[in-house]
Amino acid sequence: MKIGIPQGLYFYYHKDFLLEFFDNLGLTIIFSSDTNQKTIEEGSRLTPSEICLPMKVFFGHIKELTANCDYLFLIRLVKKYVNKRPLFGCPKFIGLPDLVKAVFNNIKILELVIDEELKSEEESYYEVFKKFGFSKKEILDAYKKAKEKTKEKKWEKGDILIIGHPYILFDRRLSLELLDILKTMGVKFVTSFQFFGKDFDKEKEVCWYYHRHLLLAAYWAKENNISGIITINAFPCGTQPIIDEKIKKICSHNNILQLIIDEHTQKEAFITRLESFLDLIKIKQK
Amino acid sequence: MKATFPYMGNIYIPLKTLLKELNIEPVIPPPPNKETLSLGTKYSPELMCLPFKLTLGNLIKALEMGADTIIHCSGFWSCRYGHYPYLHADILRNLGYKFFHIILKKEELKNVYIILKNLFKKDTILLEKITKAVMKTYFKSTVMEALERKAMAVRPLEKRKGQTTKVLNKYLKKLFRTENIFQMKKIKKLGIRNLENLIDEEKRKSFVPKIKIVGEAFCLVEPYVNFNIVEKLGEMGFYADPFLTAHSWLGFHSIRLGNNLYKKIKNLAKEYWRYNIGGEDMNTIGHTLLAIKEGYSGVIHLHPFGCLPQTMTQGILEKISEKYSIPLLDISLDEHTSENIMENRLSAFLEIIKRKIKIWQ
Repeated sequence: MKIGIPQGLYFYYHKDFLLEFFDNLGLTIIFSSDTNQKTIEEGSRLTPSEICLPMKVFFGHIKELTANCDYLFLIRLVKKYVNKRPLFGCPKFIGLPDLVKAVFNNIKILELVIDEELKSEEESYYEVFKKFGFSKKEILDAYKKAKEKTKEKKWEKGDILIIGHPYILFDRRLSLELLDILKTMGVKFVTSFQFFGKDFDKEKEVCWYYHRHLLLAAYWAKENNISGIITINAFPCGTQPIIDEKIKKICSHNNILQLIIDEHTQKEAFITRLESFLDLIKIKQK
Repeated sequence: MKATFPYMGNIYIPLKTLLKELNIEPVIPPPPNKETLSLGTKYSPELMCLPFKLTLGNLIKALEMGADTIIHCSGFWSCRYGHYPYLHADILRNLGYKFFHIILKKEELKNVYIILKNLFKKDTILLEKITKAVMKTYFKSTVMEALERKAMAVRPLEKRKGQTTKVLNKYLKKLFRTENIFQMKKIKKLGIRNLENLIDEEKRKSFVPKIKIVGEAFCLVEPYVNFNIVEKLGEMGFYADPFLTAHSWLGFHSIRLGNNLYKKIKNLAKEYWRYNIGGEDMNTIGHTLLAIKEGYSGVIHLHPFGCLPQTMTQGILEKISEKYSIPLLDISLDEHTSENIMENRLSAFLEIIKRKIKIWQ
C-alpha cells in the first residue's frame, strides 16, 4: 500500500516531519516528481481560473499521483494553538481538501484535520492512521520521535534575506531557480524558512500559522541591519498584500525587492531585476 | 461624537437610527462613485479586494465630512476580512487623519461598553437606551427588507419599466428620514400597497423564472459594485433573489439568516464544504443547492477578484452546476469591470435560461 504526498503548498512545511513519522510507522510514501511545465498546464486545466499559481501546481501534482498511489494524504489545518494563541491556516488551505474531492472523484483521501479546539494534534494523527491497524501508543510514539528529531534546525547567516513561502522558494520551477541564480552570483543569503516554528509577541493581529514566521524574519532583518530583502510571491496570493504591507512597515529602512510570479513570468526579466537590485545595494553600501 | 462606518448598500438606513438613539451623530458619506473608488484604489495595496478599496474611499470621504470616530465590525477568523479594520486604520492614519477607532468584535465588546457608559453616565439608563435602540433599528430594518423583497417580486411584472425602482427609492428615502415607529409602520403599509398597484394584471399569471444570486456579501448588497444586478434582472423579466440583503447582513454572523435556515444550509453544504472560512462560502454553496431543490432556473455567483474563500467555492459551484445541469454564471468583479460587459454577459446568460425553459415546456 502506498500513500501519495504531492510536492506542493503546505507539505514543504511538514515534509521533514512527515518523512520521519511515516518512517517510524513503516508506511511507504511516494512524493510526486518536481514541478515542470506539464504539472502547471495540467493543474491550470483542472482548477478554477482565479486560484493562485502554487495551488494550480498542487492539483497537477495530485493528478500525477492518482495513477500510482492508493491513498492521497492531505492536511487541513483549521486551528492550532501556539503559546495559547489560536492560529489559523491559510483560508484557501482550509477549503482545499473539499476542492480536491470535488475535482477528483475516484481517489481515496486520507484527510488529517488539525483543529485543536476539538482535538489535539496527536489525537488527530491517531484518528487518521488507526485504520491501518496501529495502536494508539505506536502512533503517539512515532509522532513524538519525529517531532523531537525535526526540532532543531540549521541556522544560517547572510547578507540578504529572502522572504517567501517554501513552496515557492524551494520549488525550482515556481521560483524560476531564484536560489540557484543567487548562489552563482556569489551572494550569501538566508531564507525565511529557518524562522518557521518560532513564535514571537509582536503583530498579534496576524493569526495565520504559515505566515507569522515571515514577519519574524522581517523583524530579524530590521534588528541585524540586513542590507537587502527580497520578497517573492505568486499571483494572486490573497494573504500577500497584508503581509507585504506589514513587512514594508517593519523594514522601512531596508532595501526591498518585491517579486510576483505567475505562469508567464520570464526568467530573463527576473535576472535583470535581481542584478540591478544587487547593484543598488552595492552602491548604497559604498 | 460623530461616527461613521464602512458604507455598504442600504445598511445606513437602520444604522442611522441605532447611532442616533445612542446619542451619537451619524456621518453618512455619499454613495460610492467613481471618485471614492479611485481614492480607495490609490491608497490600498494592489491585490486587495474591491470591497476593501471602496470602503476605504468612503471612509476618507466621511472623515473629510467631519467624522471623528470609525466603527468597524470584525472577527478573528481565518479570512483576511479580520485584518481589514487594522489595515484601514493604518492607511488612514498614514494619510494624516485623526480619529477614534471602535472595533466591534467578541474580544473588545467590553471596551465598547465602557465607551457607551461614558456617554450616559448611568448603567440603568444605558441598558434601557441600548434595548430601545436595538429594537427600533431592528424594526426599521424589517420594514426596509419588506419593501425591498416586495419590489423584487413586483419588478418582473411591472407595467412600465423602471417604475418599481422609482417607487421603492421614494419610500426608502422616507424611511431613512423617519425615527418614529408609527411612521415606519405607515410607510410599510403604504409602500407595499403602492408597489402592489404597479403590477400589470395581464402578466400576473405568466411564468416568471427565478434566479438565485449567491456570492460575497458586499458584492451582493452594494448596488454600485454589482451594477444594480437585481434591478437589471427584474426589468428583463426575471425574479432575482439574492440570498443576502442588507437586513440579513445586519444580524450577527451565526444567527444572520435565522438559525433554522443556517442549520439547513450547513447540512446541505456538508457534502461539498465542511469548514466555514468566512466570506459567505458555506452560504454560497448551501443556497445554490437549496435553489436547485426549490426549482430555480439559474444561479449567478458574484465575487470580488482575489477573494480567498470565493475562489475556492468557484471550483465547487462549477462541479455542482455540471452535476445538476443548472446554468451558472460566474462574475468576478474588480475596479475595471464595466457596466456594458456586465449587461452583455447577463443577457447571454438569460438567453440560455430562456431556451432551456422552452425545451422543458
